[in-house]
Amino acid sequence: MSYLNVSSLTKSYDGTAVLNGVDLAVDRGEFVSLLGPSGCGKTTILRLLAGFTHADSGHVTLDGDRIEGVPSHKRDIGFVFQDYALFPHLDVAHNVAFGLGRRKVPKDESRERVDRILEVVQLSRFANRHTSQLSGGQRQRVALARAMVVNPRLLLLDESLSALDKKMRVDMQVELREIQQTLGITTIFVTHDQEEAMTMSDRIAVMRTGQIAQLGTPTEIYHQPIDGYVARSVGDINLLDALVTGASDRGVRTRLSDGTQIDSTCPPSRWHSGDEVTVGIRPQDLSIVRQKPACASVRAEVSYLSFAGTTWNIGVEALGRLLKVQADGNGEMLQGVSAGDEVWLTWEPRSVHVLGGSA
Amino acid sequence: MRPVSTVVTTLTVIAVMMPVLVVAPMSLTTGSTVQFPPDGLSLKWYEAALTDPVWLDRIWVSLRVAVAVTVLAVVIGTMAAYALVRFDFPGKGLVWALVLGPLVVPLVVLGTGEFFVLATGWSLGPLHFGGGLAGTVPGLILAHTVLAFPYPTVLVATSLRSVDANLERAASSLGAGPFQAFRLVTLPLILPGLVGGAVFAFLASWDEVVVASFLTNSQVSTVPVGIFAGLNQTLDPTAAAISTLLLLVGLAALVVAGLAGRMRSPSRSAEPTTASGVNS
Repeated sequence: MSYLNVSSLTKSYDGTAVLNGVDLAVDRGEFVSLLGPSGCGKTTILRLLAGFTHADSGHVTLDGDRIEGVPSHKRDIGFVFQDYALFPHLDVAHNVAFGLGRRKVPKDESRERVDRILEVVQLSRFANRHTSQLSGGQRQRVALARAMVVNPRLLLLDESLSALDKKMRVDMQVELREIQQTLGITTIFVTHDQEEAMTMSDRIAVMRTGQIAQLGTPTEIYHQPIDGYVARSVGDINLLDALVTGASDRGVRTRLSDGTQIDSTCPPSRWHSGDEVTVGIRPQDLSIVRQKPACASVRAEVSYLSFAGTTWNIGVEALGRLLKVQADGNGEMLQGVSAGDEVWLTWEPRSVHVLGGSA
Repeated sequence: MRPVSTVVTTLTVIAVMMPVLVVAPMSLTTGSTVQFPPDGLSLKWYEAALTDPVWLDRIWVSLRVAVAVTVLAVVIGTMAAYALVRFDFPGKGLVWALVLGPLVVPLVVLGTGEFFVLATGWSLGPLHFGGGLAGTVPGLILAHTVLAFPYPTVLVATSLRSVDANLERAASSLGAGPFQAFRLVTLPLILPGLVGGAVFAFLASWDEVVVASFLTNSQVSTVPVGIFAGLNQTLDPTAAAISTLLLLVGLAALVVAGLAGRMRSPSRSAEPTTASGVNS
């Protein structure tokens, strides 16, 4: 039995199902992200766990206790809101001390714990500031400190970094992860930002229309997505409908509708001849060459090139559609290539994903 | 254009202020009739008013009624506002209409209705409501609470709409029960609206004459009803002195409301509320 167990959770609002049977098991101290577009139900799961709303059916156990009927103030679960929800009439120290006051922690101990957590989030100098005098990142850290100082049994973060600008967000990702690991607080993080989920999580649950499509470590999700939806949700990928024409231990041979053959040696191989599948190749696994190479390749016409510093993002017309290619920004590969050129597109069979479902 | 608007503004201010500018000096007269300009200056009519047992009795009744009405109206109004802003329920629009009703219904109609309910009561099968409350302080309190409670309801509702409901959820996730969350987080944030509502509720009762005249008699009467009756019978400067006192109380209440409005800036309201936030 895991530390947190969610089983067959369902919820609908006004007859529209938001969650269709969600199962999730989280270990003590783990950092799990719920990743998905808005409306996929990820925030609803968080609100159910916090006790702000109640499920239509399903069970939740936390550290062995059933919690679905327990009111939110008795759950001992911390929550960090997207807009932080700091108490505007209290200063930083009193915001952070709020939960300790409710737990009847003696004054001296309370002051000590507030000081310690403010040190962890590097806000000691701001203890007596008003929350309106803080920057977005500082407010975020106050919200985090306020939720963590009481050592909650579970910490829930609802898009808690999305209000920050990009640079601050990246800094906070690292900082938040460090604090979470230092304190060992089991955390569930809701986000629609794939990069954020990948960088911070022990495991990611990719969500689609009220269900968890795939749960796994960031590398599992990235390298072994179960279908095109999951593959797309953790990075760019070119997806093509195909038919399996041969399968062996060493790999899978597929054929596109126009007859092009694409081989894959990427595990896992769970396919049989005749299966309708989706073939996925990430933009950085495609290469552009001038001369027809000896290995797998197709004719392509360059439609655009754009330089993004560390990479070139290129669009090529091939196999009857626009494919995305990503190349090293310093690379030799693109010497002299310009839009409209006829080139060859090539790839390694081990970077071809064979996925379920249609593109 | 500018001189014209200045003249219009000045005339408007004079027209609005005239009654006030006339009553206060008249109350200071040394003569025994109400006249303007006053005949000499003295406080003798104030002395007369504040030593007359009949006026003292009316002041005491008015004060008790107004304070009780303020407390009742603020409590009922805050609860109503909370329900109307935070929850969705069937018939919400109808409840809002009922809350605003006393502001729209003509006072004479309301006074007549209140008189029948409070004086004679009405029966519904075996149940009997009201009756025997005419000419009593509780009767006046009930009647004025109906008039007064829309003010705190509207003002608290407005304040409450600007308080993010997530603040209460945050308090709850930190271990505060619903009542504690309200007291420690919501209440300090709606305090300006609440104090403003209290001032208007107090004034709604303090200078109300129409409904009160239905429900008062020679034994139990309020200050405004006394002034009104006095003006009809005699032209005694005592009424002018009492009117001026009434006005001063009203002004004091508005100053309180003004100060409450300033509490919105967080740095001012911070100190007293932070202390209670952590210690309790």
